[in-house]
Amino acid sequence: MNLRQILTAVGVGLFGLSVLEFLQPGAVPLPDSDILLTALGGIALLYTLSVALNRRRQGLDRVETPDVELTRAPDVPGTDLAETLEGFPGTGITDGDESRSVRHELGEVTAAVLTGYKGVDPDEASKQVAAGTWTDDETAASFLTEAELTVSQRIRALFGRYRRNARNRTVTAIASLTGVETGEDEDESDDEVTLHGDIDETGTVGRTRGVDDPSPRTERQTHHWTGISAVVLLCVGLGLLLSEQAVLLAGVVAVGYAAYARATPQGTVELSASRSLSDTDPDPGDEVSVTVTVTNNGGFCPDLRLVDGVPGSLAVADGSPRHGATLRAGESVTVSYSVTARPGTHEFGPVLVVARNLANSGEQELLVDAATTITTVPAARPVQESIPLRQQPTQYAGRAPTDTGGEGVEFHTVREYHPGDSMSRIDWNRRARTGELTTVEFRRERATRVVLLVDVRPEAYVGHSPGAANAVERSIDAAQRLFPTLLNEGHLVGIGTFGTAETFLPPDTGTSHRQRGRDLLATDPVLNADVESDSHERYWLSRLRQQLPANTQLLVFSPVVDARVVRILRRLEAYDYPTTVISPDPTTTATPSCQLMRARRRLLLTELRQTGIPVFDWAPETPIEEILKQEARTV
Amino acid sequence: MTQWEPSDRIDRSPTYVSSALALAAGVLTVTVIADLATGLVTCVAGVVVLAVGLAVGRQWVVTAASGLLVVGVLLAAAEGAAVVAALIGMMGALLAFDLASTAIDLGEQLGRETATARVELLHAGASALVGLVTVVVAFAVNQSVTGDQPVSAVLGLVVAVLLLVAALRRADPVT
Repeated sequence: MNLRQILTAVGVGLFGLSVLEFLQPGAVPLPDSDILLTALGGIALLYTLSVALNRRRQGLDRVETPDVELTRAPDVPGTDLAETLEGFPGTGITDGDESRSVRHELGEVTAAVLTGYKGVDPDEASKQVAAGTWTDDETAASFLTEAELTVSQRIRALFGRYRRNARNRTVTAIASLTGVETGEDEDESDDEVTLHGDIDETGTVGRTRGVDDPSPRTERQTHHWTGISAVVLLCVGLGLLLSEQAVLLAGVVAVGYAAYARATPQGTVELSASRSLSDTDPDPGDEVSVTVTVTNNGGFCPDLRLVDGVPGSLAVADGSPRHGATLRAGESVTVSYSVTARPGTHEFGPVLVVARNLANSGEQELLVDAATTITTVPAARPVQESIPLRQQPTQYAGRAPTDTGGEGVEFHTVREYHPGDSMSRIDWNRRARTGELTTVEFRRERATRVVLLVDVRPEAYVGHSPGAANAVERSIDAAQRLFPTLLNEGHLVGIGTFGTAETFLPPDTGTSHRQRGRDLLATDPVLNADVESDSHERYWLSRLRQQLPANTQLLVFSPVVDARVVRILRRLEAYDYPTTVISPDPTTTATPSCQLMRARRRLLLTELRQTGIPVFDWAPETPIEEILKQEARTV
Repeated sequence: MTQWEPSDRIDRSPTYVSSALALAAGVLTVTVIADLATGLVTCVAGVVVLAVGLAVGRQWVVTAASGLLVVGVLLAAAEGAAVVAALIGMMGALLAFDLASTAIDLGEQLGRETATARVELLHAGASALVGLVTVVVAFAVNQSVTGDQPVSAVLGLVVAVLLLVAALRRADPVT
């Protein structure tokens, strides 16, 4: 028998005795004292205080609903300074190295930028950092030198502001070494800045706790009425102290609500849902209307709060995927809204239902399954620009001009006749004029084998703003454009991924191959930009090499924000796969740390170019044609 | 490509219907105790704070506002308000708390623009009914018990209530 049961038993017993005493005064030997009554009032008030404080501590509890209306936000690279510094090219900074201060690390980074980007000799770079001559910004320069702080700097350092400002200015100064322009709101900038609020969830899928449970549900109390007993106690206490009947009686109303909250059962909720789409195979940009019907298979449900599981990769265009419904047994409710289709396969999550009981005291969270998939394959839109591939003679006839002479259309050179040359290629005019026998060489046109590789490693799921497309989406979009273009130019084109060897389409040509490639880019689960792949596949590179035929060019789409991708690309280039990189730029200048990230990426791109790998730096909002044109001009 | 701005997030402010009903309940409390000075001032302050709490959508402000309303009603009762006025005033104060919390919860979970009127009206109706029934019961008890009650019986009842509240809260603090 625990304390609660003892309390209840004594309470009920005492209640009965008191009622008896009421009806027949003197029947029960209860003390008869006004002082005791006042003391009890005081106790009641103290208890009120304890209950009220408890409510403050407990607070209300409710299910937080995800922002299903929005698309999942990509990570903005460089929001954390420590992560930006970690693995900075040209430095030895590693994860969790506590022994060195940020100041020391920034010094190393400055030297690395001076060496890598400005071409300064390493010793000279260290000297410049030590002397503070690497920048015009005195605060930044003195932050990195070992110079003593002035008295006023020391005082400001006590408040933490000086160091923070100086550090941010140093970071900005380092970034500007590579020509990174500073952000607009320099004063506000802080490396802890989160850009545009914090969106945690944009779908209902991740909420499933028990994976094996087909219809997971969680029950909890809302604590909506917690503290109502404080009102009861307050009325009792004050009523006794003031001997005021009205005050004491007002407590009865609170007792009524307390009983209501306690007596209302949680209720059992049995729901089923079905979803229909106006078009399961739309074109990108189309508005698809979604209709969800939720049916109550159980008893009366007074309060159902429905949130449909809009895919994290789709945004709601019109209407609302949310609804508040009251359903009688067998009744159903229909919610309709529309989403804007984007390329790829998008799976709808279960409908999230938050069911409250009538008194608002209990809450159940349910996920009602309704599997629906929407697949959008974009139409082929080849790029009009020609794609600058690397020079590479192969044995396949094609349409890519090479630097060697032979059969072809465009004039290349004239050479001396060798026996066996085709009669049609002998320069008969010259023979008639001078009697010399010469052969005309044409520019040889050859086909190249190209494999498009899309970086799908977790590092690639980054974007320049939380509302923007991530680098993987942009890469897939570009690959979707370049694939038909390369086929049109007569190349053999394949598709693969950078980060896993699961998905590979060997280089080929032809109509069915064209269709296969288009579907693969749009629907392959690995290439699905909706779901961030969490597979850190280990031996994907060697498996990819086994799949790649010899004499193949690689066109790699990667944001290039980590040093590892540079190492891998250099290895691929060394294995004799001429590589070209198209790099969607995911960096921004919003905070000093982001600026440093941009500088870091520039350094990585420079490193790639120095290896002889052409890099197309693709700024956001720029069409891919522009990029190809620019490069064609400068190369 | 669809992209969102911060303004694309749904408006998670308290819902309109329950907010309006909560304010109406607060006003009801003010009206029934209108002729008692101290209580009235506190209750009016309570309604103002309630409106602010609903405007900013903060639960603790709404709770504090309801606390002011409750204290105002008790002050009025202590000043000598009629028993009926105290009962209805208390009902209004607790209803205001209930409906305002519902408005905040619904707003947070479903948003202000979502169709939730039916659910809100059902909650409000049920809570008002519970309040009315207790007011009637309490009034009937008040009418039936006349004359002096023995202090010993009151003492026993109060101790019993305290013990039961403690026992119930121990089980699980729903209330």
